[in-house]
Amino acid sequence: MKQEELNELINKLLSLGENRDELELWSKIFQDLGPSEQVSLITNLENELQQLEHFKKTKTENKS
Amino acid sequence: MRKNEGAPNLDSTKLKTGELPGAVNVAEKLETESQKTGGPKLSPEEQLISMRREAETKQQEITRLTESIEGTKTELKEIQEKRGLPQTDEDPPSITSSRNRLNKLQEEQATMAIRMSELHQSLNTERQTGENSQGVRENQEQPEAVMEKARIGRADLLKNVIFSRTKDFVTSPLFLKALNYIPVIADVGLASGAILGREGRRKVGGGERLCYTAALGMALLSYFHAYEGNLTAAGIDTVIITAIMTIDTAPVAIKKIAESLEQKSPKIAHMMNAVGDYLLKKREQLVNLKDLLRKSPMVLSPEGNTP
Repeated sequence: MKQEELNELINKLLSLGENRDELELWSKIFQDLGPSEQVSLITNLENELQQLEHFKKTKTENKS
Repeated sequence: MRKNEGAPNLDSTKLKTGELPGAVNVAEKLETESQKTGGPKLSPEEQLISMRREAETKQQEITRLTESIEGTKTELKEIQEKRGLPQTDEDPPSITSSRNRLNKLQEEQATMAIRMSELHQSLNTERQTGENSQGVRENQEQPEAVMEKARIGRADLLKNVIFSRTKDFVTSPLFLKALNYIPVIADVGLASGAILGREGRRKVGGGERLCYTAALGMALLSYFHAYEGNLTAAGIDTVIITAIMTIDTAPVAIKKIAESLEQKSPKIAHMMNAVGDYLLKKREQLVNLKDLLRKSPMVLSPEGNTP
């Protein structure tokens, strides 16, 4: 994954309430990580995003 | 003196919880002894209290041995100076036995710290499962719970990143154990605080854990680089103590050391710099961590355990 894609993922998480300071740290050090470390990070963030988006969707559906 | 001479030769890649070489499972030992003497089985809380007492005794012995070794070395240095003899950093044969005893105690102390943390976590889990199951299910569905879980995962990832940047050039078992132990160090501080009635039984949050891992892990790695790897076993003790006792000023130190490493190790320097920037925003949490660790009996504090 490229830095731009990571940043896009991070921006989505920020819009869902994640901590800016921490995610900015990961964005800054992403290129210093090894390939498997990058994969672990991305997997972690994607799983979180998926669960948060699911929660948001459920909440919206319940309202309507 | 050769780097890490006097320290047991351990394979750092095998340093995992429960697999520590020479490990003494204190809790099991306590239980077995209790059963042998026909005494009642110790509860986890009682085990934690016993372990804490044992840790304090060990810490006193560590402090005494360290002072004795350093005293002997200072005296020897003075004699060498008076007689115009060439000076050496090597341990004199007369302190070999004390040094071995010190290394063994430090190993046991680190193992016990990990066991205490495991017990503390197990107590937390028991408490959680005892709660209303419906309430737990609802909590897990909250966004904050999802974020917490993800942050704890990233704190572990950060620890692994720092560990992997260290284990290739640091062979000291004590140093590597200190790094391995970092993500749960605050749990142990809180566990001992709870037993002594100083702290409530709160859990260390995911964001807090990540901040503490970043601060302690990167401080240890930075200080090690500052010494350029020329650390004796006693020197490593000092580095660990320094990292803990000055953790609130770590960001500045980390950034300065990063600056000096820019040419030699640009990737590590860049990472240190980024972590330093992140920690500069977390001053309040670092002060909390320092306070927590100073109260912990596991801190290798030269002046004692509790300020």
